[in-house]
Amino acid sequence: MFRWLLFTACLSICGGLPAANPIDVILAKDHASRGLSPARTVDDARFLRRITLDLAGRVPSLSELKSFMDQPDRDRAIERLLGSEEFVQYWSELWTITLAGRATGERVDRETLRRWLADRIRANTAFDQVAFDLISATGVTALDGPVNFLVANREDPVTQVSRVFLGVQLDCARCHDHPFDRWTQDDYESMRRFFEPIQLEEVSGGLRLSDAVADRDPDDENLPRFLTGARPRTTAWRKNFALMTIRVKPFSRAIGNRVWQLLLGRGIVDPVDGLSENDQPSVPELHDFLGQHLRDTEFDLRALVRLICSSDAYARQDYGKNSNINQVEQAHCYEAFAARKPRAMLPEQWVLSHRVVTQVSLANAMDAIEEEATFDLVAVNENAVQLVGQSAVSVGGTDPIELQRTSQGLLQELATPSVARVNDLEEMFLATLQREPTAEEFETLATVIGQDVLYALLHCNEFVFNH
Amino acid sequence: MNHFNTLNRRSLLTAASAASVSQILGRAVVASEQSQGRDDSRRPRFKRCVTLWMQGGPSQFETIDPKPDSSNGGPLTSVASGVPGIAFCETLGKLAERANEMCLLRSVGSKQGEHERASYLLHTGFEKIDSFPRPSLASAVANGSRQGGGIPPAVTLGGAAYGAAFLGPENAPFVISELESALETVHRARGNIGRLKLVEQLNAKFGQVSLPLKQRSRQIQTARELLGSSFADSMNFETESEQTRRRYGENGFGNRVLAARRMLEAGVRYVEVQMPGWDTHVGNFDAVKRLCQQLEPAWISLADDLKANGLWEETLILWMGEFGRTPVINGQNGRDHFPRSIPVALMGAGLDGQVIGTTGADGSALEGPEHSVADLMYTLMDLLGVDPDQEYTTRFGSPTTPTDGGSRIPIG
Repeated sequence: MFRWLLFTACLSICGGLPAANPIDVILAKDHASRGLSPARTVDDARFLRRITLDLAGRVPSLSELKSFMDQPDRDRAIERLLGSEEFVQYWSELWTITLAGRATGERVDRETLRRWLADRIRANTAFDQVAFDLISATGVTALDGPVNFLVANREDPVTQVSRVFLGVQLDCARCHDHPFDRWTQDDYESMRRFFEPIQLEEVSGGLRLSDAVADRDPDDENLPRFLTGARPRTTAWRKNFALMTIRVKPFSRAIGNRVWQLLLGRGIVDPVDGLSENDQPSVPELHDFLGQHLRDTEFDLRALVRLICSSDAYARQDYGKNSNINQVEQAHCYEAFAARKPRAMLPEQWVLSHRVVTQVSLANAMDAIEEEATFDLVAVNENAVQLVGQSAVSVGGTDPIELQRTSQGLLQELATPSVARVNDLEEMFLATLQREPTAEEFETLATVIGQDVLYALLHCNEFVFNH
Repeated sequence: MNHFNTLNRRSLLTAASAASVSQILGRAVVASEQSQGRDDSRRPRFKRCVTLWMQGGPSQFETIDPKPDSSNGGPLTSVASGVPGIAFCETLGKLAERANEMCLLRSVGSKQGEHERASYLLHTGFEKIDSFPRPSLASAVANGSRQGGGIPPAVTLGGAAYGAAFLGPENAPFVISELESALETVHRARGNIGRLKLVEQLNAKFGQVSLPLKQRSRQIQTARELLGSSFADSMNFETESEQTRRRYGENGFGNRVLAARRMLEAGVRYVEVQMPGWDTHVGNFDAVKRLCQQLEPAWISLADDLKANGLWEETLILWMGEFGRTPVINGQNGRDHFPRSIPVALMGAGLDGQVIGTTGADGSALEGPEHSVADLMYTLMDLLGVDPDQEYTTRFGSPTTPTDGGSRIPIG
């Protein structure tokens, strides 16, 4: 890291430009071949808003905004956030949602899982190790964090493991051979057998998950079989499975694609876990590259986040207000990452942002957050579940990150009380939208009472979207 | 009919909407068209539906399919119904008098004996596959109605909800886990109605180039309408007279059924009322007796009030759960899961006391016609005016139908 800074410093002293981000090199080639001209990148204030939402899960405070605008160094802002406890907490929540969903049911100790993930993210543990531990975990739900991943998905573990860690959906193959999918019912059955020995028993502290010894003849036709065709080499089937998973290329690509999706709002493979003959990566070279980068850096998640966030691709705008580009062209630009599709804040982002804006005195928002470095993520999760709406929580698609809000969830949002601590119109705009009101807005809103303005700002599209 | 035209139209629809619609729908289905074979003369029999969902799996023996002469029958007695040859269990003695307004299905069965998966199956007609979510019957009915005015087309009163999948979030049932807290939310959100105008003003200036922005703006508008609508008032069952509330039963289930009636009056097309407690592995007989003491008065009052308020002719009352229960009584005086037989009761104008199929002398096997859950779903869609033959084209290329290969159960 230090060397990179030094290198960039040297280059700028020598008047040269820092080497282009490899992501942008790959995308430039792709855009040229499609004849797309990418949208411009956002201004500094919007960049700070975007990066703070994506790495800390909230909008920047007034003081953060002020100090950044005094010295708008984007790389330094990325570095500050990547080193913060907020990044650890927020990303542990993101991974918990991905692994176990938002509402996990009674038998799952969601918070123990999240804390375990937070410890790994804080220590920057190699992510292949994290995946290995999650897939091969044994122990008790209240004590052993990673075991909660399989307990949350105990009904059909192999489907969730394949989705998250291999980026493929096997669940269609659960019932039948799909004519357009590569995986057959036999593949599903063979993969499922790796998890067959799992035993669950009631103990104090929840459920204990362990494996019965898989006592099978090594020549048995019914031994489990990995998608690559490999068979387990020991009786510890699940550990064998975990090792096979983290060693294949689809694993690193799936993780790369997921991190990309978390930051850009759309996977290179979309849906993020739907790699199939029909759903290929929109930019294959980029898909490969992110996987390769993970392997080259020994699965350093922070390094990947840093690389993505410092690319132009990450910083692109959507179209201008008056753009008359049609829907098909829009879709092309979005899938090639030539423009940024506005993405509704995740419910967690809205809850955290709402807190920053309303519950702490605006001027001191930054200090307050640093004091309580571990904010109460259990409460954040509860609020988020309400905002998404029950039906979406229990019966969504495959990726809980992408769940759409329901109308009862929106009502919850609209019913949330918000108390303005300042009545200054300018400060309210800066705290919520990170910009000053336009002359027109100033004129319309000057006579409206502060509480009403703040409410409108907290629910308007410009606030609710990460744009 | 010109066959080529049909094909061309279908492929065109698929191609044209693939890019735009897949953004709305995310995964799943991109195009649909009216099925060609639909007989227009067969009008839907019902416009509205109240589903009484017996969560946990109701025992058919202690409700609508008693076997008093079998050793599987249990200790409770049976009573004659309003239809010769049909008896109900004593737990539903008053309801038995209404059997001439009902159609009892004793021919439906499945292989799914796990609560969550079976509930999904009975709500959507499909086995649960996370990567290909299916719309619930409630959202299929919602999809056909566009009354606007902020009235949600479908409502679920209870904790377990089944969404709209590819039919889009606007057709998902509005879920009310608890009436009291929902009323509280509505009350608080209503205080902000004036402010929502301000939100809409800000949104208009922000621009609506991309679809997600348009969707959110539309949602805000719908929410504002909902808050001002008669639906918001209909949740408040406490405005009903003391006498009415007592008739439905002053308990959670009674209150929810009463609220359901008010919602139909406000214009909701489909209301599901859930009643937990039917998973009677232990002490089945006492438990079912107790449950029926709440179920029966609410059900009968709903039917009576629908006749009084003019909605009866076009409203279907559907009673079911995720599966039936075993003929064999276990060591704890309970009955276990028995998906081979799923009891279903329909009540509504013109159903005239029919029975489809039989579960045999001791309830252990379906005899006569057997019907799948897909058949049940097909039949319910047909009754409720949802075209069960309408074809959709999925994003992975294959056409799909609203049911998993179902066909109509011959209800007269």
